[in-house]
Amino acid sequence: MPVEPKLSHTAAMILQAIHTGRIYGFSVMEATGLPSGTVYPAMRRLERDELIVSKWEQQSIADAEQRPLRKYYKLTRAGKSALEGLYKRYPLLERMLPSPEEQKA
Amino acid sequence: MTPSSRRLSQVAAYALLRTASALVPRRQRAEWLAEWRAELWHVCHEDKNIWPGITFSAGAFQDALYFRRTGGSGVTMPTAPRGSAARCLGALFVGAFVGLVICIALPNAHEALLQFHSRNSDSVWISGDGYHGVEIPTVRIADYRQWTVETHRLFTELAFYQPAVKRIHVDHYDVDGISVARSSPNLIDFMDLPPTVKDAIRIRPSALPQLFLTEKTWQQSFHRDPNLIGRSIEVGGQWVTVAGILPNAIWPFPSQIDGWLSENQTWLDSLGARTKGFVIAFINPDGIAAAYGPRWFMTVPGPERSFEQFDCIALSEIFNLPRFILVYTLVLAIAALPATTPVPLGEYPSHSNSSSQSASYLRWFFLVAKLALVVAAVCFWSIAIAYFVNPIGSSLSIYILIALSFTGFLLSFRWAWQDQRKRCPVCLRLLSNPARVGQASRNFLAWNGTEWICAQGHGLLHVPELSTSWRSSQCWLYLDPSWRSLFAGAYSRPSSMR
Repeated sequence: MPVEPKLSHTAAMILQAIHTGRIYGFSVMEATGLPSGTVYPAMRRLERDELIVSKWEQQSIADAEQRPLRKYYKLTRAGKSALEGLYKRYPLLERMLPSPEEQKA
Repeated sequence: MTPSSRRLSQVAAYALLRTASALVPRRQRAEWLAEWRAELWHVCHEDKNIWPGITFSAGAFQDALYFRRTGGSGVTMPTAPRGSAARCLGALFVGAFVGLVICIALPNAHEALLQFHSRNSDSVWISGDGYHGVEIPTVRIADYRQWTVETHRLFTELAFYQPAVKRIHVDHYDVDGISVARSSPNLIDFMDLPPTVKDAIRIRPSALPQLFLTEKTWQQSFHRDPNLIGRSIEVGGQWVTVAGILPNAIWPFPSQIDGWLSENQTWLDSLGARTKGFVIAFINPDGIAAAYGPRWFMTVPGPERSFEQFDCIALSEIFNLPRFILVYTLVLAIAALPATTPVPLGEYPSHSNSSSQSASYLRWFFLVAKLALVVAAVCFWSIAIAYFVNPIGSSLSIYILIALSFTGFLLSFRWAWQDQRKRCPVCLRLLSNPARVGQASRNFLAWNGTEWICAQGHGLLHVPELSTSWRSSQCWLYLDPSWRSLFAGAYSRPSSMR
């Protein structure tokens, strides 16, 4: 039986932020209000636990926009199911970090 | 926020990132840095404030430390054995080398290092208040005049100078308020000038008083203009001729002097009897003063049947003062060391192992090398700090040098001694895993203290809490080779750290 990783509220916020479309570190920081020194190590741990996965964007996209190449994060299947469990533990999580579309609505 | 401060903020933020990246294992560093650089680019372009880039980059240290601890894999790595001897000596060597480089880079400190040889041993500097703390003139012109006539048995020649801050006016130059010393015409003979400079001075006779600028002033205030030499300029309302450029730090005494105004005899004669200045003199080689040594006192009759005493200090003594101070504080620190830490290094019994003797030699070599590097580092750093802005011979630089070198020697010797006691005598690595053994209340029944272990399994070090008949000092216990199996594989160095 696989052991489910124990996730803190910070990790939950980061998972929810990535789930709602904040797919790179700085946008996660902006959405959660957490400092860089917390967000990036936490994302490393989430990646280690295979709850999120990172991928470098294509060089052509960065070149077209004349900016450095960026690393994007997305939830794995395990990450999504873990987040489902976290909604029960932190009921306000969805309201704290709604998706940008929900915010506009 | 101005573009320049914005740019500065970005450069500072990037510098922080680069510094933090040094903590990341090498094979992951490039990717780690690329991600943080990309993120920083967005932070700087999306946030218009000055600080976010810097605070953002400060967080990189935590991420870098996470990488260092886990190697980026998320698995915490075993701790590397603590401080190897080579790493310790390497760090000390780097410290000493950086100190030496800084000494060479700083003009005053460089001069203080180069002055470690005897020169001008045939001339003395005369002061009314002793050398230390002399920042203001102490010798009356009346005394100088009297000595020029009455001291032929002691001195062949005497020169007088009087430092003052003079406003200087030169057409086409933005020069204001340099420190100019007025001197008797023979003062230039006392300076250890290169022959080329002396020749250049001789071929430019002038009816006006001659001004000799230091190279530093010529460079900073006159932008190294070669046409300045030979020109007449106005100094404090007086027209003078620029006669030459003197090498930096040619005059290492108190008061940093930017220029020397060589006056004629008329100026000397016009000074009031109570005017004070400094006097330097050439020792008569056939006179009695030649045998007096580097420092002696001259007693002369004063007013109302009193006597006045003047310090006569050989110039070579003043030039060599930094070396004397370093040797003096070194001896003082060695003498004071037993008051700060126990001197015995502990009991290390002989071992049947054939390599025991060579390990013992290596241990002593390590201690000597450590002490030598510590002495070099303290010397270089003390000189660099003491002469950072102060010229050789200023009282402030002397006080700073005394305080820094003594404190530096004492603390570093103390550290070297304590470090030596905490090392394994076989592999010279720092011992680890301290364990309390015994109870203080049973001090007379069983030994009470701390037990350290060598992570390589070479042995145990027993450090008693109190010196008793059980154990007066720390004692090393070699572990039998059969124990090695316990330590095998205790530490496997990760490939990223090799």
